[in-house]
Amino acid sequence: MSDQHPHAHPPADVRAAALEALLVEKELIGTDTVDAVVEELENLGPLHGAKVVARAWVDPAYRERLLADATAAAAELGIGGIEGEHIVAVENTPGVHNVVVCTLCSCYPWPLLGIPPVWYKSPPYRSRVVSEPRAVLREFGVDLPPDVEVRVWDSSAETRYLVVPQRPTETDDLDEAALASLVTRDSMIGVAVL
Amino acid sequence: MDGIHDLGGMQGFGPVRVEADEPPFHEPWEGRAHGLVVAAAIAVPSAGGTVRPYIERMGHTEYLATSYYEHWLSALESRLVGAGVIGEDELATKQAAIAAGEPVPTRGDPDTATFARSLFHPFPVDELEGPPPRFAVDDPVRVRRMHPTGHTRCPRYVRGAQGTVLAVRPAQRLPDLAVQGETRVEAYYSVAFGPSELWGDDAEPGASTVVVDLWESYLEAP
Repeated sequence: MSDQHPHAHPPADVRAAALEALLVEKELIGTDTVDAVVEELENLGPLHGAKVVARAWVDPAYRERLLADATAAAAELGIGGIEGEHIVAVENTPGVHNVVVCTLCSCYPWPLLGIPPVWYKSPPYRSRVVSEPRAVLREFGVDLPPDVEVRVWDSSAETRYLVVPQRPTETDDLDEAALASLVTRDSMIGVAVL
Repeated sequence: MDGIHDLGGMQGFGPVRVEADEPPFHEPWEGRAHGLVVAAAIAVPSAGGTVRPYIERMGHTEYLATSYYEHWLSALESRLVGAGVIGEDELATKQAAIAAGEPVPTRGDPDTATFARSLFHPFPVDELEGPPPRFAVDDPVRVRRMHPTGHTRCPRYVRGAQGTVLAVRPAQRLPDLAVQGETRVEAYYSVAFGPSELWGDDAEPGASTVVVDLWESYLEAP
């Protein structure tokens, strides 16, 4: 399958169904296992990450624990699982803006952010954000002063990164749940500021 | 393998195209493909592990012309055929039957379904015992020159470049050997590179750092 001539594959839905049918007929898998995985994945999403970020904003001791061991800090809130076994939280500050990529594939902290969006998995983002991060950020509407360090994290090993965005100004009167509702997926990848 | 998947620093792909309000799966088959990869890894451990090496060998043209979950389908097909779990002819025959309207049979395996669910919630992760890390935070390191034909997690764009160790991460299996069934546990490092070290005079102006996670085998003292 490694020659350069694209194979004439059937449509993707047929390929997926054929694999599932064969594995079921061989009694290797249950369709309920596939159903369960789909359901779990659909229930994941950036709300989990937003909870972690909001907690870190309101609770300095939690913030310390998050920056020291994000996997354990997420588990405190019942958040974790595959592609989140080794989480590291990187915090934005006035002088450093973090942004996450996986240039080799599409590594992403599923338990915190859910399934990655197509742009995160696509060649333009993966190729460019390591060589022209500011140009890519500008396309997302983020224009950082030249003296703010843009720190790009290429998730090329087992660590999955969560960006902790800076807390927006004038949010002192908001409670934790209201703060969490401000935290977007893109801000936790690092392609948005709040 | 120095294939098309190793995209860091390549040019010519155009702007990042963002889809508003994207769903987790665009079509039901994408969810089935994801679920199948997880279910197959549980059911057939010998064909388990990462899908990455199979995606890397799917062919450059096809890689660029197909979507993320089509990559997963290709990888799963190659893996299951390669492990002898399904035959290539058998797969083609089943695809033809499905295309002609044959339904996917239903089968219950509640214990495995429960186990699969547990993977999406916190579970204990074993710490692996490795030799003491060779490098420490703030050490200068250079990424080795290499041109591996097999799976690697050392991106091309950092090879030969000098960086500084920003963090020492807990030891893990070196993926280059793990995919061959061989276990070598060693530390990996978050290594920070300045833009001019990677891109020379063509580096984008403004303060920036690229941090890449690199296994100890990829690094040498400069």
